[in-house]
Amino acid sequence: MPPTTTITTADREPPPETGAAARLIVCERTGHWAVALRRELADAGVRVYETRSIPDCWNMLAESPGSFLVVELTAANVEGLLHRLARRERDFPLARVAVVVDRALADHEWLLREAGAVHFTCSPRRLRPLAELACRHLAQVPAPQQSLAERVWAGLPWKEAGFRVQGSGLSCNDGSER
Amino acid sequence: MTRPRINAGELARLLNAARQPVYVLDEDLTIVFLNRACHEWLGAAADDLLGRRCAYHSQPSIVGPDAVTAGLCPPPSVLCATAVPAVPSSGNASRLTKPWHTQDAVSATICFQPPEGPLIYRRVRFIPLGTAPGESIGLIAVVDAENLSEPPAEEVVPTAEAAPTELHEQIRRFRREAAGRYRVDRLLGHSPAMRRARRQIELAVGSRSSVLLVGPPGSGRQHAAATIHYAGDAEAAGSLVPLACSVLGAELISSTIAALATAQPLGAGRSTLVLSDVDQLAPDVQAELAAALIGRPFPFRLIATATQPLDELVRRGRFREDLAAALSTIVIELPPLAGRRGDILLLAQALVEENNAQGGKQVGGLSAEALDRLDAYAWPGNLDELARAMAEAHQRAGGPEIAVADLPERLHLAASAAAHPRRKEETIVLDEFLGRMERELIRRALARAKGNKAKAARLLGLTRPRLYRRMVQLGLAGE
Repeated sequence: MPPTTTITTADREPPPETGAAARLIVCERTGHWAVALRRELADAGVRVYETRSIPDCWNMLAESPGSFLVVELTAANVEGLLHRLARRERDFPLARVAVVVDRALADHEWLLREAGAVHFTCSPRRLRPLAELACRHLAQVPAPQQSLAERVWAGLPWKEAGFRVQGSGLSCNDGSER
Repeated sequence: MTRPRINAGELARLLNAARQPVYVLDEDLTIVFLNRACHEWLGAAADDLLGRRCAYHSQPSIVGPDAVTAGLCPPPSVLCATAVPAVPSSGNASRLTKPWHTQDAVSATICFQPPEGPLIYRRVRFIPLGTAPGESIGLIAVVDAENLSEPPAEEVVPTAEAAPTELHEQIRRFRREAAGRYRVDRLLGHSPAMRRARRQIELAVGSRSSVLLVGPPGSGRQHAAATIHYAGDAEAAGSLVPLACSVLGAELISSTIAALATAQPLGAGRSTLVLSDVDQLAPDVQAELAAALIGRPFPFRLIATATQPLDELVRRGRFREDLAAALSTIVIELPPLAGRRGDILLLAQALVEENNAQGGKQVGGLSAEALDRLDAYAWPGNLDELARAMAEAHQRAGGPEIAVADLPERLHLAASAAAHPRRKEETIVLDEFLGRMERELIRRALARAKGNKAKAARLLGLTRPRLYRRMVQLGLAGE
């Protein structure tokens, strides 16, 4: 039977619900915003996670609720995005959302800001302020409370694997369920 | 030459016999005629519409005839196709002067909110009337007899021409939902601290002074700020623009304020700038903000949120005195949830019902044990944490009420921690842990090398034979 270490959080102060470490998540159709953002973040060592739909993006946010989202606004996703932004403050209070958009939809800026977008930009060539904003956010979000074992495990190189949240504790498995 | 006979009565009889609602707007977009079908369609509201001017806006809380005329107003895309709206020199700012009669009729979707029930959409054919080139005297609107269930698809994915109409509808829907969500009477609680906060918020709604909302994270500061903005006169609700002071640099804050100053607000009136977590502003950003806000005419209402009163920070030399004074005309303290335990049960029930209102599962409330568990918890995340807990419990509930087992795990852990002495320090068994770590690293290296053991060995700084021996020892050789 594979060895399993279960670490309870019962004796700690109830932790903020930070889940996994905060991420920079880009949600867009084609990937060109992520490419431009990676260029701006080349020296910052921030990994850019990509999703292709708002539901996928919010699923990833649920895994790491302190994330910074960069969402591409399109004519088709305005309503869905507004709906999720309206609940963002309550569901994911640590997260922040920036909106990137084609110029044809530039007149949505103040509506999206009113809905809670922290930044709004139309140009992939002007992503420096957005990149700085994302870095400041990621630096400020409280890190998930981790045990020594979790911190060591989180620092392992290459592909993330092996750690799963199980109920109240965190289990370190040997990968037998992969 | 004989003068042609004009029988206006016969025209009215024909229009009143028509199945389709028809209304006529004059050059100022004032309603001058509605046929019988239009009266029947609009119900009692139609009686007050004659002589009212149509204005195309999205104010959510306007009700009665003005709400109906806003719905009947031709979308700007129609007016742009047929007219331009203002000639100041004419003395009548709303006079439409482009030659409508040279344009074809234009179809568009109109939308209005009846006093009860969902939004109504109908297709309308707007037929321009003109006397001579450059003169226009009105529009005849012929409305489809049946409602659309939703805007037609071509307007959902807007073309360049249709986009303003779609944006208008998006603003309208967003504002309507926001107006329902952010109301003073939704700031629940009977505790003295909450009653005082509610009174102050009502005072702030009627004031133009700057407001500072002080409270711990999750205590509803953003909600209170939005309530102050939306709960006032809907005519005066311009754009609401939150700025996250803790992450926005000086440049972004200044540029956003400058852009807001020149932007067309979403509503007709005063916009509100919400400076969130203003107590976290870096000194250089404070200077930039002070330069932007102090000593110059400022067209917005200012609301700031903070976790502590700014005058305390001023005393400690951590905040500019002039900026603190400019932001703190009205100071409202929002209590932590733990400081108003008597409100928790009321809030929990309200949140359960809010989740019921989303549709789907209907839950009556919480069991007595579940209520005890809520009451015993410290709520470090305040209202936001309670809201998330109720959403989670609502989702889990399998019966007519939320049982204690449906509550989030952390509430049980906290109760357990309070009931039992601290556990011993966490320990690990080093050899076991290192073995698992080595196994994991070998797996990752093999995955990265796509199964090539020589490459995986290089990644791990091992020789290939040594990697193979370790794989055998760790039980990985068969993978």
